[in-house]
Amino acid sequence: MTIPTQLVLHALLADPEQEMYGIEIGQAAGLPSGTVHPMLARLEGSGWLESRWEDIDPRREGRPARRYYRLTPTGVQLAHEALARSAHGHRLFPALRPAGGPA
Amino acid sequence: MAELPRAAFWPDRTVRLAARVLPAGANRDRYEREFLSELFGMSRGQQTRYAIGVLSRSWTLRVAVRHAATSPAPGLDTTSPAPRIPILCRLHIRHRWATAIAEDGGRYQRCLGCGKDRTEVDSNNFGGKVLGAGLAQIGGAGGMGSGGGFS
Repeated sequence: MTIPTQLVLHALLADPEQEMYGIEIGQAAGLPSGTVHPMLARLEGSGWLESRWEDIDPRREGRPARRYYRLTPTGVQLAHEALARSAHGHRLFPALRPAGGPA
Repeated sequence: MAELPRAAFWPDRTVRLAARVLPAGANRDRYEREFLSELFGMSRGQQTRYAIGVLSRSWTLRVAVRHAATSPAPGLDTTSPAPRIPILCRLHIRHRWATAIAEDGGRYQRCLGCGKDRTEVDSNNFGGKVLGAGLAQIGGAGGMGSGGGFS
């Protein structure tokens, strides 16, 4: 599991009941703006995430409806397991990992 | 309620362009709508950075959307038992490096024998075969170029 995916899962697991939209997830994960959607798409396609359109009146709110994401119950469990495996098998930050093979 | 700052022209066009990379249909429509909705409420500079980020990941998103239904969930182990680790890998004498594609589209190198991730990827020196995200294929030994198979 890549570091960015781990960061996204950590952000989502901070409050599994809370729905967040893309930018919020990216900011919570500390990732560059606009770069989380591929990860969200894969997680959603695998059933770890569910998403829905915000139920608002755009004219009243003055903005379009956003797409909100939330971990599914299965996703919460699988995310915890995956992060535990990643933490057990690898250091979280690549800068701290020992140097690999020759270039 | 006061209206939030609207999307500026170029960020608007940029995210629409990013959505065009996606296969035509419901996914393209959904992501275009999603990207545009997220532009609202940001300053022009933030919109520009967001649009550039979205565009830079548009092809990765396309791959993710197309493979979302078939790829295994990230981090899930298969049900098959772990294969034996080759002796050369155990002794860190020789790894068979191959390029893999992570679920977020990033590239990294992984040993075909023991599954060890290489910590640094030489973008000019990918060895062996390119692996699909989440799938391992038996490839050639990682001795191609100078990125050879030594641990």
